[in-house]
Amino acid sequence: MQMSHNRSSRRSFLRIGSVAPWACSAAGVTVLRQDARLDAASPLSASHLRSFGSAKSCVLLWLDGGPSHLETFDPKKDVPKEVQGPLGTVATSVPGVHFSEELHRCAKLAHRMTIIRSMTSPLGEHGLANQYALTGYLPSPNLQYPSLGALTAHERREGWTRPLPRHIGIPEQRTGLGAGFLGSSDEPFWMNSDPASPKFRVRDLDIYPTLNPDRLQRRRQMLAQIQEGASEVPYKDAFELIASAEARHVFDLNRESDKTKERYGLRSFGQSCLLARRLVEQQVPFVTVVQPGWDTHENMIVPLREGYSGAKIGVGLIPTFDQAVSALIEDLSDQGLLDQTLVIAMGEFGRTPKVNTRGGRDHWPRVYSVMLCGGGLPQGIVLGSSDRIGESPRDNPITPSDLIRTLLIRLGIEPDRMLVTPDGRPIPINQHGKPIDALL
Amino acid sequence: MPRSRLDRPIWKMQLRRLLTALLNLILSTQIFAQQEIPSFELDVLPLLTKHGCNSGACHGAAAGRGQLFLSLWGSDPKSDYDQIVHAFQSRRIRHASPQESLIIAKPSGRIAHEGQVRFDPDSPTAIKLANWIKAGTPYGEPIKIDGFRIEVHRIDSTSSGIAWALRTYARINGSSLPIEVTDRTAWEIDPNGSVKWIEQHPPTVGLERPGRHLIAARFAGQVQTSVLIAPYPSEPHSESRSDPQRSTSFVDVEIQKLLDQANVQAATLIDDLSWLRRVSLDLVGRIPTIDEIRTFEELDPLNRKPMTLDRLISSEDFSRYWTFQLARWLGLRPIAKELEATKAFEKYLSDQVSSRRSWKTIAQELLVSTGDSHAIGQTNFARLAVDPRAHAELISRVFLGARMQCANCHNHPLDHWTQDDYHGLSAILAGLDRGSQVAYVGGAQVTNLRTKEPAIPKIPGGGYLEVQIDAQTTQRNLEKLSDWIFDEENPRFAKVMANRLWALMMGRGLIDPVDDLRATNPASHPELLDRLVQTLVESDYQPASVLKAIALSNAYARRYPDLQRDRIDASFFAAHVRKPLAPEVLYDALCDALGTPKEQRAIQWLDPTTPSESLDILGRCSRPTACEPPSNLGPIQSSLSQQLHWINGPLVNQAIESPECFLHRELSRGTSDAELLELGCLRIRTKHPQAEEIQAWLEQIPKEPEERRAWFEDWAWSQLSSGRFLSN
Amino acid sequence: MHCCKPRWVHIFCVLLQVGLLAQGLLAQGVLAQTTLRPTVDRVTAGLFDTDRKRIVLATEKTLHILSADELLASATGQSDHKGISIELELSQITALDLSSDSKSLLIAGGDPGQSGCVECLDWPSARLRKRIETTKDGSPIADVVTDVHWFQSGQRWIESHWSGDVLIREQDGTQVSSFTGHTGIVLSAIPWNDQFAASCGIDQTIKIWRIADGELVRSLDNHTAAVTKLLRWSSPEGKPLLISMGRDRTLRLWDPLIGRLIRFVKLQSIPVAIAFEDPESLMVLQDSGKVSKVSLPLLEIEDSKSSEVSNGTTMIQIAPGVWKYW
Repeated sequence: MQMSHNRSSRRSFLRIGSVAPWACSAAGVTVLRQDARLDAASPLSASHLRSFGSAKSCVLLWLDGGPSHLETFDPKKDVPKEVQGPLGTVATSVPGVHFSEELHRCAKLAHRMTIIRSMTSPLGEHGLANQYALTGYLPSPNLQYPSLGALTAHERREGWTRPLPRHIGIPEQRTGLGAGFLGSSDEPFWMNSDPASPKFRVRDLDIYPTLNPDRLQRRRQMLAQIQEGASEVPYKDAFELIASAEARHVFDLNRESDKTKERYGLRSFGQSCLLARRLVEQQVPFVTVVQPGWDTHENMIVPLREGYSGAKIGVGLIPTFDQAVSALIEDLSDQGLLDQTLVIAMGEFGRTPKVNTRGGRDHWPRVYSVMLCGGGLPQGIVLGSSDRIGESPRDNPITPSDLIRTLLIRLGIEPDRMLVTPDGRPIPINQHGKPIDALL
Repeated sequence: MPRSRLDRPIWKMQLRRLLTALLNLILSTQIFAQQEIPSFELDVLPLLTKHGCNSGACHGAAAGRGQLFLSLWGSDPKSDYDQIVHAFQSRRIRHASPQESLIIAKPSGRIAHEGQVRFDPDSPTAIKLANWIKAGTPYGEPIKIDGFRIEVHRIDSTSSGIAWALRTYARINGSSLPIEVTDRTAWEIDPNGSVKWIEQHPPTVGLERPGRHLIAARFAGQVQTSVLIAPYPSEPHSESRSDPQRSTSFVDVEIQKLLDQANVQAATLIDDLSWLRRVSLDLVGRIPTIDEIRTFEELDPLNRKPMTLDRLISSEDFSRYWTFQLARWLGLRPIAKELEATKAFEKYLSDQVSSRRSWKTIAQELLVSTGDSHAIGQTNFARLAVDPRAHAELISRVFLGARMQCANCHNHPLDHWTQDDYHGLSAILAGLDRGSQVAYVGGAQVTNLRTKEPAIPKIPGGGYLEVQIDAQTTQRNLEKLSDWIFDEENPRFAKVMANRLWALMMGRGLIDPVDDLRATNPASHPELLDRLVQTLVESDYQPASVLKAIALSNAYARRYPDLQRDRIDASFFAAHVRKPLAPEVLYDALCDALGTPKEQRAIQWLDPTTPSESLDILGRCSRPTACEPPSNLGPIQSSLSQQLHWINGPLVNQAIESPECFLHRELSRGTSDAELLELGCLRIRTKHPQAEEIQAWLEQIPKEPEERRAWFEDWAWSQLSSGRFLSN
Repeated sequence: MHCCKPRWVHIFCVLLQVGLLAQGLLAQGVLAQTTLRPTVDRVTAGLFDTDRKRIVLATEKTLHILSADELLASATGQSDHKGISIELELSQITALDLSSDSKSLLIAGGDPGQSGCVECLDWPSARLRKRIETTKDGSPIADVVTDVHWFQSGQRWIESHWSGDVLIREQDGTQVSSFTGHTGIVLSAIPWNDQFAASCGIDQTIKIWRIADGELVRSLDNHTAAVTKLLRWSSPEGKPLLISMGRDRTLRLWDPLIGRLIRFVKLQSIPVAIAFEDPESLMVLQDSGKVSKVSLPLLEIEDSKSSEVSNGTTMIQIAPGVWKYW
């Protein structure tokens, strides 16, 4: 969609309730259709049951801003220059499939990936599209839905005895990734610190200098005694995290060799992916790594490839992504963790097929791409395609709701189970999504 | 010469023609006999809305779909008519065989349609469209709608419980008799709400859960809502939970009406000391001091509440706190690199509130003032916006309680704002120079994205104004805008203000969210809101009047809901919503409770970007757009980062260990354990400890001084971490 | 039409025609007298057969052939026109073109949303010579042909498609060239000369193609909305220049082979039809109903008046300086 919003309002979080709730999704159900053809959520079939729970952990690489599908996983050849954009293509290890030329390392690993090229959504505004992509629900003014990470954290709380939080986010919060009505115990634990920085530490994890573990224990007990009407021991997660040495160690990147660090790339995203790998090793169910900056409305070659004007080697979003993600996938595979770790790389929408007059691309939710890897997913396949110029899905359109449902099944979460909001409303974990059979 | 068409014997062919013509004559008279000729605005366009064709995700999008551009929800019938009937050489209409027309064939599934099947080929919609095409796609009369309303008829005995039959009516073109328009009304029901369709024709809905639920209906550019209430089942083991004496305050009367309708038991009232704490935080932003507590307890129980309120309202703390709240409401931010301007703005607000100026007058000045922004503080409100559109959005949020942003690119889908309204408002505001000398200018323009021409200044929802060719015209227009916003006849600003005051006191607005007033988001208690508005207007827009009325009500003094048992919708106000403390208030409360004073109270830092790591960690929001606390927050919950900081960070620990903290002063003075415990509870939690609690604690306290000190510090920490301290 | 038959049959036929005039229905392919009612029947395309002084107008699926003299004589362009009509098997007629020797008529159109079709008729007999269901490289194109124009030779033509394709075809229907590159609906395509062709469309561009190898030579990119029509004009010095009309309310004059925009003019409302009045001026019909006379090559608006037609699509000069609009 080419919207000419002024920049200051583009990220307005308060635009909930503007369009989306009454919009129809490409997949079918709207509230306005009286001659209703309700697509019933299909129950788990036999093949779905086999895939159920194949992923124990998930690493979500959230590409914030809406990455251009044409400059990443769905580049076009033999199209007018105004569609092609500044980057060329590179062949991948899957015959007939090409990635953008800057993704050459990932291209070599394409045979382990699943690429969806026919994602489609009606929402072209950041706050709304983020929520849809991450929760599988069209945003509503009445309710904040929980993100995939929060749902995973919520479902894994039983039997979770480790002190580490079940949902960790690196480095800083972004819209749509929260727990919504599930409450703060399922919110991601944000590092709020850049893993690439030498000063990286999880703030306040070390005991305050004048205190000691015994005193903390006493404080905890006292609090438990006076807390009125609470069903849970307050601050339980925090106390347990503080008490755990193992937790402290996992966040210490200096325990990795320099060689490993360099393999991932020494910039923020690379080191964040390295930290994600360490967390997955400790069986943390869900890790979100945010790579911001994909909202390239102007002069996109600079943020995408170069990183800054005049850079000799490209250190922009795509090369950084390429290095970190290829390292992550290989590393997980070497450790034998890839089959049970779902890796997702996605953003909230794609970008306009035609390059705009400022050398960039604008929001385009009508078709975009998502990369998946590991977690038992079929390997080396490309699901769906966009049309010649990357404007619309040509076949097999997949909505965020469909994708979330499928990922939930892989993560061992029943999508039709009911959650209950604080005021008593039952909400299914996923509604309206159709599971993608090719991925199950 | 080749045989051409002209050479064949005509009479044979004409015989054939006769037969086919006779056949068609029979068929067509049948169809014409069925109904009158449909009119586009009355019959055709509402059907497109009903089936979602012109929704924002489909053809109503700014970019259209498949080159068919319809106006969002049918707000521009003339343009829609052109698109459907004329565009691309009338490709969408086939007069000769109507059912094959794209406008019918695609949505009925005959031809592939990205938007799926919207109605069956033999549905009333398809037949109506076909008739319209057969009749030559007439436009018919434009319609003007009055009195569009929903009627709900309760049907009690269905297998699924209570059901409602829905009907809609409207008066068309000045007629005094309403006609039923149910068959062409688009219904909007929250897909995750509790309202479920039982039947489509005639429309019948049922409720899956008790409580208050909303349905909305849309027809020909009008929107209406209706509230459905299903009573909660009676509690089998209800202790007597009714109010000790039925209150006659208008607040309680209105709240009780809805509680009775829904068969909801209100929670019991809190004790007076808890009330003192609650009202202190809500009215002056701080916890009560020991002296205040003692004085309160000595007052006559029948008068103590009104007397306390009067005391609080006339205090300096009240002015300070409400300056802070006003600054948050306006979204005050520092003016980039101009400290003087920011200071002038802050001083202006502070002076106005403490001199009890009418908030309406303050608002008016904020809207129209010009001058040197370093000296005339109110001119900086305009400078909070970077350009006319941001200014339009700011004004609509602050003064109109409306989120007008959507109307930038298309007519607002949920409210009546059009693109012309949005750009017209921006056009008025374009006439302000937002530099350090704020002034009216002429000749500035913004482009109306709909017409691609310069936008004509316009009152939103109202008439057009003069084009601003010079500063005088700009001034006139701004004054007209101000008159409209603050018009007594349409007290929208008063509604916004009264609703915000209610939300601050009660944890949730009567209209929720507080900046989303629209037709499809009605107040939960409309009459109550009107009374609050009246109170506000009569007191010349002083917040104190409304705050006092609320503070004296029973509704305000209710307990928190019992989460295990009570799953009642917060909009009933059957129990008090547990409100998080604003970070600044929490910070001040911490200092007050421990007795560690700061030079300035945190609520005096009107600029939310004032550097403070602690405030940031406590959740202070310094985003460019104003922050509202989420309205459906459950009991106090904090993120893991906040918990870690509270446990291990310097914020609480340094304060507790500081020598000025009351603990250490009392310990060095030799106060006994029991006295210190009592003092601590009162200071921190505004509560007398119970005998069992004291007993249990006394047994734990070590004798050795160092350990005793450590014990009390830990004890103080636990008191400060309680829900009672951290929420209101 | 008259031919030898018994008188009683003749009377019967006349009575039948009178009786069936209101129906206006014709069996396929029969020429018969009918009335074109401009206020009811929507004209989608038209042309002027100057040799025979006949006007051909297309409504939804019917060709109407009218006499220019009768039309001149009639009071206003909005009164009913009597003439002859032929019903075709298309659902929508989008364009008409007569070859330079006036012996062949092309009709473009198809079934919106389903298929495209070009019919070639002998002229003036209107006998169907060839009907082509349009395909590209053998696969059917699933929507209408938007425009069609003969090449000078009268042996081949160029077609533009809703699907975004531009094709050159021989009379027997074989595809000669195809041009891919437009990213949206192509609204018009004209031959430029024997080596090049031009097309324009929704993607706001005008594209110049080399016929021999199908390569895109130039993409003219200044219009800020869909480009709807192209005209070829020879300047007084004999240089061929391109005139384009767009929904951004402009007319633009180009030297297309070097890609230069020479001049443009902004109109008051969206132009819907354009035609030469004489070698030095254009008439432009706009969606407001106004008609403007624009001079060439300076593209200056000389005069504007009302066409008295709303939602017009077609304009024809039936006599020097006399225009009719539908």
